[in-house]
Amino acid sequence: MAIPKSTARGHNLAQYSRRKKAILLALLLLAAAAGYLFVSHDDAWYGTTIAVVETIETTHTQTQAGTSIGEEKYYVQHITAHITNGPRKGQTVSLPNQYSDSGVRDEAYRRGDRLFIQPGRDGTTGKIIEQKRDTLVYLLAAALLFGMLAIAGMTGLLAALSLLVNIALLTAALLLYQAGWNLFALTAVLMVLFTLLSLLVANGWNRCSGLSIAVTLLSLALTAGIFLIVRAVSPPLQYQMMEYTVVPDDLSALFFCEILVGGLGAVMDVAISLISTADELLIHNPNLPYPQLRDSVQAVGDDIMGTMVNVLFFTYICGGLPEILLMLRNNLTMSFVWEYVLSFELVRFLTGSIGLVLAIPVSQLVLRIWVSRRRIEHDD
Amino acid sequence: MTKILGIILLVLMLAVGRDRGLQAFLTILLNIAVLFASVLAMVYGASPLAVSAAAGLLLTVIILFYQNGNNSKTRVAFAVILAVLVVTFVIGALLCGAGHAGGYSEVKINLDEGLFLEGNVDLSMLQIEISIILLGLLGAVKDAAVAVTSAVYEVHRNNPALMPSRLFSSGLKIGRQILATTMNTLFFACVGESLLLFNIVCWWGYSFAYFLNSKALYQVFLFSGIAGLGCISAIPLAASGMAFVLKLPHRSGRAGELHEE
Repeated sequence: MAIPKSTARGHNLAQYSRRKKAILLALLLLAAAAGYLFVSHDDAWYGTTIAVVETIETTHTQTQAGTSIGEEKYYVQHITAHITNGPRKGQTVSLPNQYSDSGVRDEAYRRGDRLFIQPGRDGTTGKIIEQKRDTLVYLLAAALLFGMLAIAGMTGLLAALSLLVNIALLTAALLLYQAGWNLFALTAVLMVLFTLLSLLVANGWNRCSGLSIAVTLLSLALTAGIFLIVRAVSPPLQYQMMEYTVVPDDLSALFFCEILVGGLGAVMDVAISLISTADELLIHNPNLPYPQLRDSVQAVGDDIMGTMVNVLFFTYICGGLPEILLMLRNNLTMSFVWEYVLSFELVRFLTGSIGLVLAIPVSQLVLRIWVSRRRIEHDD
Repeated sequence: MTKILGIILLVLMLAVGRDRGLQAFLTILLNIAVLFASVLAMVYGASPLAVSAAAGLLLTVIILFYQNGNNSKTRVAFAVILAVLVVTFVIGALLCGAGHAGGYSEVKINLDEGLFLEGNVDLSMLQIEISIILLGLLGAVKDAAVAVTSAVYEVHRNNPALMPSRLFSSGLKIGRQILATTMNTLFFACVGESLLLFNIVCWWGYSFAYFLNSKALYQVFLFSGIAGLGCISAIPLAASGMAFVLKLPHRSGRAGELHEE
């Protein structure tokens, strides 16, 4: 932003920018409300028939013994719903639905739920396909966007934008992979693009971004090397038991790719924190000797290492808990759970953590090279 | 493989962080122990929500007071994390209930995944989903809360005459930087974990409309989205909480104690 020449003009500018901000905020709120209205009334845009649940009659049908403890009650719901799109709009259908208290593979629907249905030939019954969740997805996305805007302003908006572009990149990469491209090459390109995009959008092109990019990519390359060596010398994991598997022969490569993408954010986070600290010091004193830089990077690194490892731990390990609980309640042994679920989550977490711990010495190395190059330039 | 990677991580942490590294590693071991105990408690019939509330409290105490010590910064951060947990519990329970987020997703059912597991488990999968959302955000929310309270504390220490509103805005400024990078971490961790899901969706050519409304996407998005909301709400709470505590009249007499910490 331009620095105002006089206080009067500065005052005007501040007032102007505040008014502009208010208008922008009002416009955004309006857009969000319009978006909500659209998403909650978009039934006509879907090809599948949609019905809104109006009344539900629930009857308890049977009680089965639980697999390890307790008992499982089964219910049948007689749902009447009215169709909101297509040629039968306005008609009422009855939808049978069975559910259990645990709800492992079934749902207890509630009044007001919007469901995709397959209408039967007779026109009065139908089959539930799944729930329509787009309004909820929209609400959560809008809440996140507004939260980031409220706290971080333009930076938040840019960050959200870069996440969207990252999703587009990922989709493109997956489509290319299925078109037969090499997964390792794709992963490498994807990593570089993700890193460049996230860091440049957040900070713009400057010394800080350049060094952070170098640190992130170097640490990731080292982590990938460590992971590949360890994988080569240890017995293979039971990849076919991973969630959402489809092409058996590529699973180990896909898992490798998953691990790198998963750790990228954490490594980037550490790299930015360390390099921006060093950058701040260099701005105040451009000739700061390397040992001082190293020590301050070390101090910040010590502070954030434990915290970041925790972030990865909770994000990864908690994701596997439902499956683990299901298996244990099915009387499967701990070693089974370990081999088929827990080891994947732990390998993910450990590799990501190795990456972010490595980012600390790598930052020091990159700073050292940068400082010595600066000295040579200075001598010329 | 886990053993070798674990040893490499331990060695690296010791080499890079020395005693802080060891402490970080021990924290992880304690976390594993608490999670293991809570899984066992749920398996033997305790209510998932009650267990996860207790585990959440215990884990917060471990990652906060064991790692960062007991001082005014961590005490405020503790209150902030508890408040965030309550808020996210309400949001999480509402969204999980409205979108039926528990249990196997339709994508998994279509793949015949976990077919050998019986459904008669007498364990509400919806409650489990709410529990893991709450436990999953602990790390990220603690990160944001501690960063903001320490920043506000440092600003206050260097300039004790500052008004609470100025302290608050400097806390928000730090929060801004934290938020962007934390969102990045959560985003990539979430994408990394669901890469196979995205791969399947592209492989089978599920339509965008189907995927957007699917439980599979909803579960992934809830897990990381609510963690994001938790961080967002933690930042202003931590900034105002710390500014308030530092400016409490009866605290000013104990400034010496604060400085020691």
